[in-house]
Amino acid sequence: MPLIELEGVYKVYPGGRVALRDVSLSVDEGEFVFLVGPTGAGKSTLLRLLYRDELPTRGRVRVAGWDVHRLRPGQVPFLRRHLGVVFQDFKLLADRTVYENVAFALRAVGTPPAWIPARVRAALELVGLWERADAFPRQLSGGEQQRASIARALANQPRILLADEPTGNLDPDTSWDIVKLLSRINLRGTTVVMTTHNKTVVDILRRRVVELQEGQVVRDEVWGRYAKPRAVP
Amino acid sequence: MRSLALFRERPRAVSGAARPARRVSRLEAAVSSVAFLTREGVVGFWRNGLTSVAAVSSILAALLAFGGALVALWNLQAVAARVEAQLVVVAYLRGGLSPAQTEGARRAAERIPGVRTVSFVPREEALRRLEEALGGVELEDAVRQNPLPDTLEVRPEQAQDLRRVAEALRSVPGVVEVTYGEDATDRLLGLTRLVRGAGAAATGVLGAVSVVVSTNALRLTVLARQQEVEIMRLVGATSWFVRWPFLVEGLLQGLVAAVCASVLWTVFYPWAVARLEQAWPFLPVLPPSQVVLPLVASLLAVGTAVGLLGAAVSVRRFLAR
Repeated sequence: MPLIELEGVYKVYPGGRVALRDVSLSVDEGEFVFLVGPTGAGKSTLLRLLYRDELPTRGRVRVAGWDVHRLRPGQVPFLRRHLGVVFQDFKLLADRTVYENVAFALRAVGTPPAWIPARVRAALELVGLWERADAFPRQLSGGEQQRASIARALANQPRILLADEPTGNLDPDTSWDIVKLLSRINLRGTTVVMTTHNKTVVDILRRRVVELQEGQVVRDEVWGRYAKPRAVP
Repeated sequence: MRSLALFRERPRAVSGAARPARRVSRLEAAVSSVAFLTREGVVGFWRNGLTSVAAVSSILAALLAFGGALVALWNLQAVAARVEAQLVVVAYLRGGLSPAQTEGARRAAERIPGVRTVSFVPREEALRRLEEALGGVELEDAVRQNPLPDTLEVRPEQAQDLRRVAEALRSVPGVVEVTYGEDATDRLLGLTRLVRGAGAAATGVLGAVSVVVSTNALRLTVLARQQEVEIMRLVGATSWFVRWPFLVEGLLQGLVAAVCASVLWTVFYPWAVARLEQAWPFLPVLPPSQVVLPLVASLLAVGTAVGLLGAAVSVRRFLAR
């Protein structure tokens, strides 16, 4: 059974804007998927459906065995414990250290305190930020902040990592570091779905590419590139 | 706020294992979560210093007004009760009753439901009172014979029973006439009822105002922690987990405001009473000893309730999604 499955999904926002149109997609455990496409194509909406920040107008969304489209509000937290989410703007708490930011996520899901130090350390070592555990977000570079937010997303050992433009605010070298990190996380068994505008990264990594345009899947390639190769003249 | 080093979690040297060997029971985990969340609430109260000050001071203002309404209400009630306690039904007895008949009438009056006390006033006593009321003239000489009848003075438990008790007295054997100053009493009772109602309404309105004010104040608190809420929800915190720190913070803000209001009223009320008694000695104000304790208790109860309620209402909007 696929880990992520969308069937005939439509998303129409109040006001009538259609963000997704009959999207069907399935992702197996352990895959690394790039979601590409122009701004407004529906990439972020698709991710938001997966962690049930939005509900589909029509169609079915299944994530890690949960019927997300008909999840009761009380169950949403338990779905999200299987997901780590990373954003372009990091969303770190400015008044807490890196360590506390990661520990906060563990605390928030009721992790026994005795487990927390080891979990935080494991997550921070994985992203290579253990040395900076005591720093506050503003003392970190953009890349370091993104690594901290990835550590936070991974602390709870989710099966799926969703990344919405994780390199959007970073320079090319740092972006490449982050993508390498996500790739390494994927090799450890975590399924990764990442939206991006970063052509270079997609073209170098050659992973599965799903392209959205105006809310529809127009391309789904196993070893894809950022853009469809033009016909050689 | 940097000064909260006490509360900071620090990286500790740990072994590589991500799970300790010992199993952690559900209860233990729950207790530690509650402790953590309570601490989050307390820390939040200090971290959001300015927001907390704003919230506390607006709740404080509302509580001070509420305390004022309460003090006014209690004093009005005391005045009304004192006025009502003076209301009495007078039953005139037929002349020439034997002592046994008189006693029988008294007993019968006592058996009327809602009657608190019945006292027998012999005609000699009535005359003496009349003389006193007229300024100490010797009436006995002037009229030669005492024209006044024996009477029963009947006090009801509650002033509004006056009319009913009077009706019942009419059918007591030996009673020839019953009077309770119908018009004046009815008007007076209407007035005390109005005063009580207005006082209670004012107290209720001000109580409601404090809830609204603190809801708004605590909305600031929730806004200040919007990002934390967002992240908690993102990583899969349950609604109660998100709510708890706010409830703690709201409770603290309400409590701090209530303590401030209590201190101010504890100082202000005796001072005001002293000044009033100096200016108008005849004004019946409740002594501070009777007011301060219940007032402080009410302020603390209302303050914490208002804080909790305000926090619950303002956090609800965040959890609605």
